[in-house]
Amino acid sequence: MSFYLAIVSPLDTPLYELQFGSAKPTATSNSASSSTSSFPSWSTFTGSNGSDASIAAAGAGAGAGASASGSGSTGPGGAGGAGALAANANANLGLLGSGPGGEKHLLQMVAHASLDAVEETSEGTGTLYLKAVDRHNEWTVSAFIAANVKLILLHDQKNDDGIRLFFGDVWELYTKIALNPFHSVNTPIRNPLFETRVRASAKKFL
Amino acid sequence: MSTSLPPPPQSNPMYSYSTNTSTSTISGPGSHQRPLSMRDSMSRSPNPPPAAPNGAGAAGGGAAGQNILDRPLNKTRGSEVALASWAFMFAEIVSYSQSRVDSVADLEQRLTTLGYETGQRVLGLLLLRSAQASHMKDPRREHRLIPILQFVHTQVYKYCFGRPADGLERSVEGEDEYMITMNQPPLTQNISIPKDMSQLSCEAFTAGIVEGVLDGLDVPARVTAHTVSTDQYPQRTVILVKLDQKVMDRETVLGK
Repeated sequence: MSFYLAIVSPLDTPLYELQFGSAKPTATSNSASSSTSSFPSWSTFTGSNGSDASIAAAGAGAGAGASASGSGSTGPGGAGGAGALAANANANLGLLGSGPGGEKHLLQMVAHASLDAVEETSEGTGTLYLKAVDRHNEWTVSAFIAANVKLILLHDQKNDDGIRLFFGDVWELYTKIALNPFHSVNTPIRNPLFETRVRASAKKFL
Repeated sequence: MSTSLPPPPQSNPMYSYSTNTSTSTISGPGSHQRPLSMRDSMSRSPNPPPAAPNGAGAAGGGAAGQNILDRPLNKTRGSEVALASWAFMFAEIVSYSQSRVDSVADLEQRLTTLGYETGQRVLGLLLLRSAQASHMKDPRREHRLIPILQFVHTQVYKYCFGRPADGLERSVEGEDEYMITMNQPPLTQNISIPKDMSQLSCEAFTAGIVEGVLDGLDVPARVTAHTVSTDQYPQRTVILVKLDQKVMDRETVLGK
């Protein structure tokens, strides 16, 4: 169980980011640690055939050709397409590098990629809590429209009620921050107590 | 006032604010005692300066030393502001703004900007309170145009001015223009506009609040304030809401 929370400003810039594990299943091991090992690994993004970087690089040329010619999914073309997908994924990952920092970028990317889906969904409904608006591999993206900003949570297990209450807590914390006249909607949140509170409420509800 | 207040954890504007309002006697390492301007807080570098020795959350003592996250949000009883205090502050706001502009339009623009900031916060607070009143069961907001305008007319006005607005009408000139009227706007009831500035309406501040709330509900609009006096109500003010074309398009798509 791992989570990634992002608060996104009206200009779609991240105001606050936090990745954390859950306290529920293994309460002994990770109380407040954001153990990066609990996050889905890179391999989940390198295609199902488990191709490593060199194979994907080799397939990149052929694969790119296949996808450029209209994504022919028959016979060897299909395999080439898969290779191209893997190569693309690897190319992205290669830019980011591996390790905790890179993982954060990836999570950020998934969260921001879901913003379109969030806006599309929120236009047609009055509820603030949008559950499972988007999926990306094993991650589900839930969102909460907190007046001006959006709260985005990536999670890998279903827990609707807990997430709703967690969002409610974070929303209250954010509102307190936002009421400060020295804070504008586009100011990043750097209050260290904010993180403490978010973690506490994550422990409680997630 | 407690004298053993700990220094603010770091020179974050937020802490400076919370301590500046409380006392001016404390002096901790890395704490800013000068009042920060809004511009300061927005143009800060993304890397905060190193924290002071006292860690976060070490703030103890009375309410003055509390972090803003520790303060209750819904303690409203007895915390209303007297109209006299407001009138005094608003008079200062207007004269301060006036000393920095060279036209009536600029002055109104400044007041609107201030109101916009207010409106954004009012919206967040109202939505949060109504959601918490139902214990976060299905928190909602209005997403259709007419309910949104009614929300402004009733809830927002009631929260800001103690009573709902007196009228909400659609303009005869355009589908995308709505008017919120108030016969005796309390915020500006003590303000008399000089003859040479007859175009000015200090209710531009209210217009800003409305614009901030609408924007937060994803309804971008251009909102202006106009004094339309009648014999009975010389200060009658119309808040004119001109909606963005995007809103009208979305309403058409969503249908009835």
